[in-house]
Amino acid sequence: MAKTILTVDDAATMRKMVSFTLRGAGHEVLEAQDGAVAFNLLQSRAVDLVITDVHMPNMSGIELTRRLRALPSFGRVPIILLTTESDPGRKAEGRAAGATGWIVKPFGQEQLLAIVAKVLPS
Amino acid sequence: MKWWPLKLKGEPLLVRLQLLFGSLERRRSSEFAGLFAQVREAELNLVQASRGLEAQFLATSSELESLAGFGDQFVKQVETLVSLATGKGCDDSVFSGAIRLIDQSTQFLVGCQEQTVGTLELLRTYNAQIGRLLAVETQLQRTMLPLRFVPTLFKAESAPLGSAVQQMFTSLTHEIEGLHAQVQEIFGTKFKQLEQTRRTVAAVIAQLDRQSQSLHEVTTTHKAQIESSIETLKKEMTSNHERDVRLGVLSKDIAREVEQIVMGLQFQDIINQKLQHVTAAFPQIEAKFTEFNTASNQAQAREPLHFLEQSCRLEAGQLQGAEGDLANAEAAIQGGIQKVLAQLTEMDSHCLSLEEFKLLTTSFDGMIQVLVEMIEEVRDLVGATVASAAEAYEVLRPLGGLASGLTAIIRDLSARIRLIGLNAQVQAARAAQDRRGAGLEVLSARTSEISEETNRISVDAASQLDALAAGLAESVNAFGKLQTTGLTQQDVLNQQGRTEERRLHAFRDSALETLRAIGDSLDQLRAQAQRTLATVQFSEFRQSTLPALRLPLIAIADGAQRWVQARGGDQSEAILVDGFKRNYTMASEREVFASVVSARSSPSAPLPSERPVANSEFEAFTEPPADKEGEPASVSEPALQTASERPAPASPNGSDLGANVELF
Repeated sequence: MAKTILTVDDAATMRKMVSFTLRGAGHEVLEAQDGAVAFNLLQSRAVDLVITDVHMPNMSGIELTRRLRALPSFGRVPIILLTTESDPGRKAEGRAAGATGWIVKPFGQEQLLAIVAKVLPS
Repeated sequence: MKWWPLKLKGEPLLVRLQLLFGSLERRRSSEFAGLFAQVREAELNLVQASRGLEAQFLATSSELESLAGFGDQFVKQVETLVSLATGKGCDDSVFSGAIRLIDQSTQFLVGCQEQTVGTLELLRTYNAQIGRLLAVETQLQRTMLPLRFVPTLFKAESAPLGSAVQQMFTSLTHEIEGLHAQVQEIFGTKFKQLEQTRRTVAAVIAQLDRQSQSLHEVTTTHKAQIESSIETLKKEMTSNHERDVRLGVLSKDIAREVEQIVMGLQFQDIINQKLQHVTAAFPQIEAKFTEFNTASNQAQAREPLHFLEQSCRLEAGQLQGAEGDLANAEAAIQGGIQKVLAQLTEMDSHCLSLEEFKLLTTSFDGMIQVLVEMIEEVRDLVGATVASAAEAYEVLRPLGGLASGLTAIIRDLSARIRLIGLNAQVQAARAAQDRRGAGLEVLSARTSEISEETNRISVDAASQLDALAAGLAESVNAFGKLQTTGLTQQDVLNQQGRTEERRLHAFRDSALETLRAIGDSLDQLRAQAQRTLATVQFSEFRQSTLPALRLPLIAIADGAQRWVQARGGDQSEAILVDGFKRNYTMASEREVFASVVSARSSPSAPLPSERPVANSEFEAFTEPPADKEGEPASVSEPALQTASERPAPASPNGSDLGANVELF
């Protein structure tokens, strides 16, 4: 079943690859280039899943996760951190902020779709 | 991204260094300054080139989207074509609908043929019956022959008797003569008609026999053709598992290559971040260079130089790692596109056999033409069968009437004969009262015997005629029924046959159109793949831009190392760049860090970036690096590796989602 997914990354190529993969599976994909833009967008738009980079200008992915989790409407929306970082400390930060999962770049298309299928309720 | 604002010291600093370290140091300091100038220039170039590289990656990703779009379109078109022909995914296939119609009509024709054979047997029986009835004529003629003389004998024998007796026998004589005349008439006309009937039935039998044989041959041929057509379909389309498997494999191959390209493109972000981490260390390096420049003696200069040696080597290692990543990404993207191109060629030449498909389905001798011709032929045959049945019906129908009519006449004849016989018995009894009537008595008795015999023959003939009339009526009904069902079948063939013909022609047209579109798509796909390939131009960045930064860093590190060694310094001195570790957030960066540190104690150990570059047949992710004892398990970044190198490992918390995934 098609879902609405927001991809947040300051790297345009990454946004494109995430969108390309998810759209290919029939999902609707929204894009934002950093955490602040994503946060503003999510004030007016409901999504089923957020896939965000961690290291971004203006607002990091972890900060975005923290702020979204503070919103009542975002209590159950999965948030996946998609990052080049594999540092256990940063991962723990992401977990503490309320992220649903952590993916280290680069992702495989089938892998990303399997993750999306797993975290999204059917 | 923060770029190191390298501040070169001007002439006064160099002069100060010259004063401090003498001519050798002057040269060394000048050399370092020159190298740092190169680093500064390379870093500035890196900023510009990184933007260019990002634009190239972005362009490639856009081209990839188009490529995948064309690829999806192409595979869908081919799948549509094969599905349409084989009926996969829908209720019926265009071919099987037509084949079923032909099969159904052929079954009808087989039924007609069997029915005709049965009717022919009956008709042959009827004709034999007619033959036996015709023999009755001879039998009756022979039996009744003595009656021809009876009137004359009656006249002669009754002459001496009284007029009353004469009159009685005269009346009997008239009846016998009348009967004789009637028998003559029956034999003269009605039995001749019966003879004609036998000839007509024989002609019908001959015609139906011929038709039955022809029908048998045609239906046998058709059945064989249909079975062959179904077999061909099964073999070439439905049961040609290989074709579908190849198509499926090909789609998966393309999907796998696209996946590799997608992974390769993500390295732009990874490389970009690695470069940010490298340049983030430059302010510290610059500070140490200043410290070195301002050192008042060799002892003071040693520590900053150690730092410069370690840090520059470390960042050079990280740059080499980025070069390796870029090489891998380039190989993955280029390799992936080239494989897609190779698969397209394979698809074109072997896999789909589009030309074969065209020949098989839509050409002059193809399945569609054969089926359309078969429908027309079956329609003609059903038409001919209906016409024959109608003709047989028309010919046989009056024959039943004739037989019935003849039965009535013979029954009448039989009744008259019985009356004559009775009359003769009565007269014979009367004649017996007169002695002179003994001759008449004998004659009367003989007449009575003949009458009984004639009656017996007539009754028998009448019952045979009854059976014949009933049988003929049955055959006529059978032909009538055959005609009716034939007309129904003709209607079915006319309506469904035209529908099937339209479907077949529509399929042919759409198949040809799809084949043309597939050809176009294939060309577009090839052109798109070539365009995408042309955008993958990372070699300048990898071979020139990055080395332009890395090589002066190595030169600085080597120079610093030589300077320290020349002054009795020990390479195994303390690691001064441990703080850099926190800059490295990626597993591969930490791996480079560990390798550089370990290389100080074991100089022969290669840096991770010096490992052979994996080819483009990447499939699995790397396993996470061994974590230090006591530290939580870390998730490693995936790297492009050959499939044969390592299997894709499972992540502890991401179950089977991959080593780079952890779900909380």
